Amino acid sequence: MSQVDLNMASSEIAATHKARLDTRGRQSFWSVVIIAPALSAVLLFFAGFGLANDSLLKLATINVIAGLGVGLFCGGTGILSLAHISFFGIGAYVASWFTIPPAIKGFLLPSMPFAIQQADWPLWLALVPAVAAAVLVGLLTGVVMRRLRDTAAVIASFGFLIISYLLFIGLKPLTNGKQSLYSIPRDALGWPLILVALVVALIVAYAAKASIAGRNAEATREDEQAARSIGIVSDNSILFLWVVSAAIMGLAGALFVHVVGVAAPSAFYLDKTFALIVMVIIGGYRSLTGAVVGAVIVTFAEEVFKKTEEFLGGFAGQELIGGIIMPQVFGLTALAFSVMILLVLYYRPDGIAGYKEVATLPWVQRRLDGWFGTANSNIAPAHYRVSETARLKTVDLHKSYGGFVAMSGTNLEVKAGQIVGLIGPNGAGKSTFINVITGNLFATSGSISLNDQDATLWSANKLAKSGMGRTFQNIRVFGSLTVLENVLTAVNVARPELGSVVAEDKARAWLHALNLDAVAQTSAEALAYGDQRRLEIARALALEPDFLLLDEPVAGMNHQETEALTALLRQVVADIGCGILLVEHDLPMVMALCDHIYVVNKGEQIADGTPAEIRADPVVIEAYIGQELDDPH
Amino acid sequence: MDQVIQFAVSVLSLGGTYALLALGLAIVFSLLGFLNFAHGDLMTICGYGLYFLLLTGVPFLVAVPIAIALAGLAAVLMERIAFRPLRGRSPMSLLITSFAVSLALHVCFQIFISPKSKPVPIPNFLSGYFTFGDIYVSKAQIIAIVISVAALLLLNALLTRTRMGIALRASATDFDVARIMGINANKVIMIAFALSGILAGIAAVIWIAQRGAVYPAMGLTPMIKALIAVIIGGLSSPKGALYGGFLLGLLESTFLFVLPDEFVLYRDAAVLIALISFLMLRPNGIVARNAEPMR
Repeated sequence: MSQVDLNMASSEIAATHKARLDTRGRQSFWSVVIIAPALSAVLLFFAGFGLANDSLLKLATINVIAGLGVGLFCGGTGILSLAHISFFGIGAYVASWFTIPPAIKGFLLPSMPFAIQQADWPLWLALVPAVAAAVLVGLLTGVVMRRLRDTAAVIASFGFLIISYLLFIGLKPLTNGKQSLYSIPRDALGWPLILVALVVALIVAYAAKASIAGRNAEATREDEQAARSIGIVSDNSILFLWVVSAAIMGLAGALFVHVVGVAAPSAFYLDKTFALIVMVIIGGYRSLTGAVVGAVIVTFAEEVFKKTEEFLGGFAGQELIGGIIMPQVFGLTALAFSVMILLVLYYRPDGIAGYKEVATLPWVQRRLDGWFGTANSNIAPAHYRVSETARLKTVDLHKSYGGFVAMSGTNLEVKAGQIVGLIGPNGAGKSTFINVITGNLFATSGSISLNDQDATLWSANKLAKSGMGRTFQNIRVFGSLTVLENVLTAVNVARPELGSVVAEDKARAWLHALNLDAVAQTSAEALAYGDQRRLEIARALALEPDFLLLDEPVAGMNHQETEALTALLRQVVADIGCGILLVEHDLPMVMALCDHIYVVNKGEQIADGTPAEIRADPVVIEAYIGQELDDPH
Repeated sequence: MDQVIQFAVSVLSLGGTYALLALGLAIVFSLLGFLNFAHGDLMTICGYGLYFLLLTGVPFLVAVPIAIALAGLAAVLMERIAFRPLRGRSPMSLLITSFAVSLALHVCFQIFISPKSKPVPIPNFLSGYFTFGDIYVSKAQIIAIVISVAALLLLNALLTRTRMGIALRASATDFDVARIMGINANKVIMIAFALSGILAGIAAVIWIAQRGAVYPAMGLTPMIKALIAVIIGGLSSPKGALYGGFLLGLLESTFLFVLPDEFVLYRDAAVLIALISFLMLRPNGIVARNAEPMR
């Protein structure tokens, strides 16, 4: 690592452009600009060659909108949702309430309120209550979904799918049950409306993905503990994507029933859910581009399979070779989809379009040169100043599991501008201490105070927002996010008032300060080990913390890297004035760097003092270093 | 009094069935980290096995063990064909694969057997009622309780007393370490699937004995509930699946007794809503892996 200069003069870097959007915003903007006409061209191509009729083309477009909804949630959170078709169904039913001719509604939905009975709205107006209903149900179900992760979230969403199906059948006054709602005006849906809806859905989905909450959801997907350590409230970002995607699904559903003309519960159940999953998996669930590609493929594949099924149906009951009788073929589409999904998962797990948005593909970027990768706008140096009165203090901190005492009576103090070391042999209770002080475990007794406030019960989020930055023993970066976005997530938490472009510049400044500018657009998982360590520090510093807690930062580093990091930490403390708590196994480094050292062993704090005092302390020598030295053998 | 006993019998028989299903799901989850959505189709396979065996004149008591073994075999084949090529991928891809397998099987039943429900003749000793004084209890329910309790005890003995069971538990705790200690991964996974299939088969026999029919989507509803029971119980231990199964039985019986007949359609919806609301309070289930609350 070369010499680091946190106070680099800003005039060195000249502005090359005035961007209105940050990198991801620009990528999203161009993705919309590319996808909308490209999709239209594909549909026109099919129409021009007579391969598709009007309603199939409309269904394809609606499937794209639905695919965007599912893709937005599944891609952003990494949680497979099986419930999104419920929002699609809700949108479908609610829109139909307002567009079915009043004369028919009289006997179809006799117990509806008079106002709805009389409503004879144009479709574009009926979209409003449809989307609103989907959002409302999204908020209600989101209360549960925001709490759940992984398998539990998938199964809960499956539960919601079943519940909605049962209610679509059961709530006859609203849905007419299995008799379904019919006479839904099919001429109400013209191409102008459907194209406007498509563009709106594209913009909303990409804007959500590029938003702070969208990026926070991705950070949570990559590593929730790290996300919490920089103050991200993971639950809220998941809720956000859940509700936005529900709105898009509601829109798609409302349009859908006005193509097919009938709203039946079975249309919003397993088959359609599976079709949606197939779309996002085949296209590539990590990117919205993938969802669009998948939706187009699935729509036309579905049509081909249906035609094949009809063709085979003509042979049903006839004898084939060897006395085998051709069975009646049902559900060929589902069978073919199953095979397709298995093939994609075996051979191309990222999907056909991969995990990149269309505008981030290299060949697109080359054509849009000047909009991408232009790192150097007018960047102010990365800097902040910690108040000299900042204090981190623990009093009698104690943690036990049943009868086992993992840590007892830890009294530790870090002042602004100080580097404090915490050392101890393996199993001494260092990890327990870190987990308690960073808000991942509750202390059994004792207290933590941060700048004279009682922080004993604060969550990891709150601690992060209130001035405690940390790194992890086993590196935790947001692997698939770019290096720049890793830091940007922290900047957004520390400085919520900054606009997206300014925030990005600030993140770049932090990368520059830690000598990572060359890899700003690389994904974090592709970095070398030492670079990932520095990225963690950059991300923690971008939080502008009063105290930086480093958990074995030089583990696995060679001598030169350790020296460089030591120099960097000294510089950080000198320039910023923050306090550093260093938990480390590398004794020479701790001795060289720290102003004050605490020693723990077997859960107890056995000594504290300056490096010289610690070196001379007989208790420490006996417990920690001495055994081997004194051993006569 | 008779109401109380009938209620208790209903709770135990339903709970036992769900616990069997949930345990099968949990055993596979403990090794591979995914819930097998095709688990319900193993029930259906067992059901069709029973149907065809009885059709060819095999006596009921002989047909039952063969049908159950068939479900175990189907589970092993499912792993070999669909899941093994994906070994080591994310649990999410395995879950999606199992979803696809389930749908494919469902379609195959429709095409090659029948989309309509097929009757399974239940022998007389399984239908009708036991009478204790003036209390009537369904025979099928009592037998369901006996069989599921016996199966659970047998499974417990298998897991704690035999080499195979200990290997399975070791692998469930830490698969990597177990492999280093010389446990054959393929074999352990095969055994786990065979066990889960057999448990699903037993559940299927209990299920069919009370309903007397088999159809392509037969396994779907009980499986969905078992899936949720596993989550409710907590994914980290088989005990969780047991608790979840019986809690589900309790809930369902309660709604069955409390809800008037005209709302019977909403029973499943009410049960599911209750279960999901429970998840909100305890996202990691009853037996949570991390006993520490998140701060």
